[in-house]
Amino acid sequence: MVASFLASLVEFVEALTIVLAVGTVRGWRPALTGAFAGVLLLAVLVALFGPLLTKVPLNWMQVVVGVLLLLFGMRWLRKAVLRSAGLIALHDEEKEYEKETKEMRSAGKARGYWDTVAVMASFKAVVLEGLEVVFIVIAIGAAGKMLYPATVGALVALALVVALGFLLHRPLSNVPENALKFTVGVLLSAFGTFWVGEGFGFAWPGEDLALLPLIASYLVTAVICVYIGRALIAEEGAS
Amino acid sequence: MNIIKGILQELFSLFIDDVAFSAAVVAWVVIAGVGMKAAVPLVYAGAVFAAGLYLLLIFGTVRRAKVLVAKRGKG
Repeated sequence: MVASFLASLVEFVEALTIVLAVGTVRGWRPALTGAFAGVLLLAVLVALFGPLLTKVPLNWMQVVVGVLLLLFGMRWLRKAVLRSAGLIALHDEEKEYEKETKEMRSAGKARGYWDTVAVMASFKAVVLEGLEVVFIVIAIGAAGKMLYPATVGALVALALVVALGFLLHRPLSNVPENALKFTVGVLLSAFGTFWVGEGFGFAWPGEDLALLPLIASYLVTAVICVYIGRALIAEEGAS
Repeated sequence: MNIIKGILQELFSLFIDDVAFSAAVVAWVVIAGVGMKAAVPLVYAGAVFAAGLYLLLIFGTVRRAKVLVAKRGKG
């Protein structure tokens, strides 16, 4: 539930930035219509694929989902490490908001009853950011038999982001996005490693408790990578 | 059509942003699945598998970091 909540928080904050920009420039009705349609599509995907995947033999499910979680988790973790090392820029929600606002203004006035530009921009943002949430919910749900806790984690994050969006009416730029992505990357890489091992029949000492040293080891490895990255920058600066 | 293309591209990029790194991870998983049980006692197999992934993470990240540092040097 924690991994699902944290990952969902990051993605929904990014979607909120775009929906806010669309709503501010082109109106709240098309922005919220597009967002709602996006959330509905994501819910249908979870409802369809979540229970379907539990019908696949568990060993195969664990290996396939484990590999996907490894690729996904390590992608997030590598990017978070490179951002922490200062090698790529931190994600800036205020900049994204300004960029999206400019795009919405330059798209021209709405024609007819529905502002399709605004509806589609909002819909696309929610679906594209939400696909990562759907994957995490389904993966954790299928391989770890935790579909309901994973779904609850995602829904709590959605409710929190929507509530903050309504209250503040501006991008949530104070959310420590890179720290969250670092944490989720560590967790998903550890889960992926564990489930691939389970699928292959490896005997993890302590069974589920083996997740704790896996999480700790990924964290240490990632911190080592951050220090190496910073050392490379310092070396380049000195030469 | 653009939205469908965007969604498919997003789905692909969820898992793969560095083809070489992703291929190395998948290759290690295949090696682990095929060879680990024969080569290593099952109680150590998980630790060996995980250690391989940590090394891949370090080498893959350092490789990417060197490319980024080199770009900074040129730019």
